[in-house]
Amino acid sequence: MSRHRVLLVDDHALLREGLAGIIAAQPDMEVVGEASDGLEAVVMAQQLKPDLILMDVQMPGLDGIEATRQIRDELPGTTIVMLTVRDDDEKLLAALKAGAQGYLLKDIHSRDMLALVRGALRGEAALSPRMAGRVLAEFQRMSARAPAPCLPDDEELVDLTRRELETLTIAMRGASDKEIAEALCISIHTVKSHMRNILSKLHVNTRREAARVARSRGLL
Amino acid sequence: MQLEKRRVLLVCSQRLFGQSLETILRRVEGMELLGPVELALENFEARLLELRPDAVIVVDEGEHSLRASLLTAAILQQFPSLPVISAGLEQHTFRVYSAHILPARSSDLVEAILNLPPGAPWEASQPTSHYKS
Repeated sequence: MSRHRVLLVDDHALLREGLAGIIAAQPDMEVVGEASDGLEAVVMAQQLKPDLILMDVQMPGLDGIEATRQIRDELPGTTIVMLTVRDDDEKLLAALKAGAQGYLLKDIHSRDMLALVRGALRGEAALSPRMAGRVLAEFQRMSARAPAPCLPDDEELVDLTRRELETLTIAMRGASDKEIAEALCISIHTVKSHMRNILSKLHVNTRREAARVARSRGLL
Repeated sequence: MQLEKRRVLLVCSQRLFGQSLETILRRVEGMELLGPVELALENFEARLLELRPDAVIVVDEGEHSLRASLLTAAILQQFPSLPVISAGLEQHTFRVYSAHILPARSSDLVEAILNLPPGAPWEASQPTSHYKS
């Protein structure tokens, strides 16, 4: 069984070492690297391409939220869950806007943390019920303030085919055309055709932009 | 001859930091980890007399920091020969506390003060290796 590859990012060395031990004991996870600040996290994420990053918020130099933003720009398929002592609405919302899949406090039990990060890897939100309530409240507040969006007359509703969505999902993880072709049992020529259609339908020029737009429109 | 293991009691509320320490310490040869246990000011004496550790680690897990400090002080007061190590998430250091007991004579008092480690205690504290048991 392949294990999820985990990068740990925290400037508290003792916590990081212990967390590595907890993660390493899981049959479905392995620690592939550790970083002690946000900049190191960005570099290691690019090198290691982990499936999951557990990211502290407050760190010297580049903080966890900015590191999350940069990593998600480069590797949109990476799941990032913040792990912090700060119960702070502003940081919570900033982290989610930066692309974090969850925000957990360090007073959590490891059993609960593992359950939530496994959920995050499946696309669920790793949030406590209390934090989820705060996010909901913020969303409601923003909806009450903002006028209802109207689509311009010339903006078409984007409809990616199932195969195009599958292609884009794999491409988001940094896979080459050859790797996408092998994963989907199609030719490289077909992969390239799918990618051309995706870029055209989303009105973007790069795969990274395509992933960002698709995610923002709820297509992924 | 097999050396006796150091018996270390881990006092924490079994949240992530405490569990992280437990994971680290259980791997150490020559150490027997007791706990993790939660200790309260009301019952700590009885538990310590029962467990008789060689050292105690009190984990400060943020919201309970005052309780951790009070517990540390209480242990040192009641068991002055028992070293207490305080570790928390708010600081990236840990502190080792132990009591030095001396006869209540003025000469011993003056000597103890004069033999304190040099340095300015009110400057920004840095981790040092001046600890002596």
